[in-house]
Amino acid sequence: MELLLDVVIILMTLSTLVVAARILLGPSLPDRVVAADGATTHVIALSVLVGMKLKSTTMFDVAIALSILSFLTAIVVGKYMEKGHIIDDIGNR
Amino acid sequence: MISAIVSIFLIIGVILSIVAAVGLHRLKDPYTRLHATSAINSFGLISILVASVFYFVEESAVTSLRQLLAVFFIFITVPAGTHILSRAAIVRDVHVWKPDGSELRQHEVEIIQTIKRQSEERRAHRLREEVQGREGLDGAKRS
Repeated sequence: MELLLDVVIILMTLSTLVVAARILLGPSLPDRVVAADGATTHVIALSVLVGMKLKSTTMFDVAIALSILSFLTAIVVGKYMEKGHIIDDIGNR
Repeated sequence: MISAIVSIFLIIGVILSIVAAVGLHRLKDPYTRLHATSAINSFGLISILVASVFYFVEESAVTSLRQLLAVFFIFITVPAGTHILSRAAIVRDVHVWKPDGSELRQHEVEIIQTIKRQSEERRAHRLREEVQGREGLDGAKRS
């Protein structure tokens, strides 16, 4: 059980690095955003796994906060890519 | 028994996460990459969270409630984010990858044009509202 948890944490860390490489490699901006979204999902999974390893339940708050942050990132960057600005008429007045 | 369930869910989760990581490099354009990150990756995360629910089954009920809240939240928000990202990619003219390098078919071109037209209409509508609001503001100042 503990051994499996260690192996899973190591594999997830490597997988996170593989996903994060796409942020650097991605040819277009949507590629990078998609990769960043996937990397955040991997980090949420890693935080839950570390919480299981440390036998502490505080890491689930981290997971919830990170999932909200990843959703917000997707929405904000998507709006920026579609419209060219994020907040309505900032700098126009 | 509990240990076996936790192990199964952990293995499913890590396999799906690795598949998502490989898919992000194997697939060619943002639309197909969204399949890897949205569907497979979030399902892997959900199964890891389910494994942790069973791992902390002896804790209080509030703990598993928080984990299930995270599962619920991911289940709701990931499709919305995927929708917005793919739409933004279309508006930005990111090309669609075809396996044989052929051109887009007629109905696909129509869908892309519809999305672009909707985005333009929204932008024009917002600009019009903004101008009207500013005129109203100026009139209030003068009077």
